[in-house]
Amino acid sequence: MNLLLALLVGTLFGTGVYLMLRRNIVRLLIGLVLLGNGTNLLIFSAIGLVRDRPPITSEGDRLPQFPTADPVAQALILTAIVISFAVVAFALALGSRTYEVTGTEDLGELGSTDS
Amino acid sequence: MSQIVILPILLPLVTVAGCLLAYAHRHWQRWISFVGAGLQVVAAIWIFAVVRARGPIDEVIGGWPATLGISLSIDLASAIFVLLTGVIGFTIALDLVLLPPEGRERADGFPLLHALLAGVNGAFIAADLFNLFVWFELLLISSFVLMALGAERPALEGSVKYVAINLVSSAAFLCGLGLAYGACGTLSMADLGRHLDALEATGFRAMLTMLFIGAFSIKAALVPFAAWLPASYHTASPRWSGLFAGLLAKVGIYAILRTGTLVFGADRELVAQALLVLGAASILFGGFGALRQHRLRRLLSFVLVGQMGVLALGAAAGLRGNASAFGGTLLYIVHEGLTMSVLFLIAGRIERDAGSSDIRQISGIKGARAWLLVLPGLAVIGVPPLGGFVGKVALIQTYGPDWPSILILLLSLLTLLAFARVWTLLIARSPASDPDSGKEPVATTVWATWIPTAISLSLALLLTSATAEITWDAAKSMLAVTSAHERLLRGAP
Repeated sequence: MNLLLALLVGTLFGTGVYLMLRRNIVRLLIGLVLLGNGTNLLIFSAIGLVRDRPPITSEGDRLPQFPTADPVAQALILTAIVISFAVVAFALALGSRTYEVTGTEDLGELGSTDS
Repeated sequence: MSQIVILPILLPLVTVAGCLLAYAHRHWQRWISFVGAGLQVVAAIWIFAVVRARGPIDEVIGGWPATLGISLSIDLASAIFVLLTGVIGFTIALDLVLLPPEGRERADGFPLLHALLAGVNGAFIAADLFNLFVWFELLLISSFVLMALGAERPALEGSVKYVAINLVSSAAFLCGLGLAYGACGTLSMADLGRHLDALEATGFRAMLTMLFIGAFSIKAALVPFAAWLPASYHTASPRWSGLFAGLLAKVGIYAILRTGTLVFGADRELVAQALLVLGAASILFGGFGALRQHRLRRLLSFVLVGQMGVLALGAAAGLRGNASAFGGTLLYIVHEGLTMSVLFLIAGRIERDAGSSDIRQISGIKGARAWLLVLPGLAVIGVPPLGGFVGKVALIQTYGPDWPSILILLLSLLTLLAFARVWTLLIARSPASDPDSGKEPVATTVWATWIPTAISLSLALLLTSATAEITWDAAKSMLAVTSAHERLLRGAP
């Protein structure tokens, strides 16, 4: 399971970076989404995977009896998902506006300020 | 009393709420934003006085134990930077009052300015890494929108490049957070520092350190991650590019200094060596790059990258334990924040009034705008007794007759050459004799830019040896890592 998740994270990162290096602005945005998702999955896999063990204890116990899923890490991932969602929403609006104003989705033509 | 630690974040967020409530009435928005910025300066001065008198203030939000809750901590260095943020925010809010945005530049800038200030303040006072990440994202997203505000073609072009590279930096930061949490089970800076010091897998620890330092170096615009700064800062509106130039890259350097001392203390030699290389490359890239530019603010962007290189060299010496170099770096950060924001604002207004950003076509700048172009330039070059000189002297004395000192002096020379070219073309050259070419600056434009920039500039000019002692104390408190760990692990009093 760990190996599968690691391969998945690697695939997401690789695909995301490949797409971010494309000339088309839409590919750049999709690459950003994949990169964000890969990062979130990396956090998920880095904390150790447990199956079917929610962090719930019996009454009177101070600590769980066995290793449980880590709620703090899941909270971190949720925060990261929300932040990347907001960023992707803005990036899509930016891409759409850039297309309207410049008339092109080719990033190579967005170079008028680069000299 | 420790509740005042929340003020640098609370006040800007309340101002955001106020500005949004008054969204339909721009007249009110201007004044709400201005009053909010004024309150932030007052709060920052108060916090600075308290921290100077009584030492660092720590608070864990929600009353949780120290390593479990969101920790905020203001020591002397953080207080200095919160004050810097307050001052720069105040000058921009004043500029918004004196010269309200019109036309395509709608009134959205007011809440976004304070959201950015909330993010910057939060980053300066965060004491756990995930909190730092959240504040970084807040300031990043606010700057994304501010950069593209107005939706003109140059702004959108710069914005796309800015967004893409900074999102890669955020992804790298988040990866580092995930790996650090997986390895150590904590993200509070003091606790993580303790765990990393005791970690046996030194290769993994070095990789983790470099992942974080890499993410912060992208934000701090150190070469080879610096290309986004000259591509985007000069495309935004004048006042927003002034705001960015004063604050954003400084947060990256601050994060390197804070985590380099508190979290990655075990690898500080590695970080120092990396910073030496990055700093040297940034100085050469920024200095020589500035000589080739003919757009005014793009030239200033390259100068800014060069200055970040000097800060990286200072950070390298500081992380090796040298308190006077560390203090000089902190002083230089504050000085750079004030002078570069003035320069970008004035340069942007000059470009706007002249109708062109090409320095070969602008001429006849005189009076207050000429002084506001010359004096900060001299301060950036490092002419004594201005603040830039004091910072550079501290670094050169630390390094002695070695190659970092030569690079720092070389940057001063290259910056001098770049500015000399700007001053000759803009100020010393008389305007074209054709009466129809060029525009006469509107009187209100000149007056409105004069006051906010004069405030920043006079503060920058006052940063002489007297205030060097404050930054030296701040440096010593940042370097006292063991006592900082104990203090933070004890939690709120």
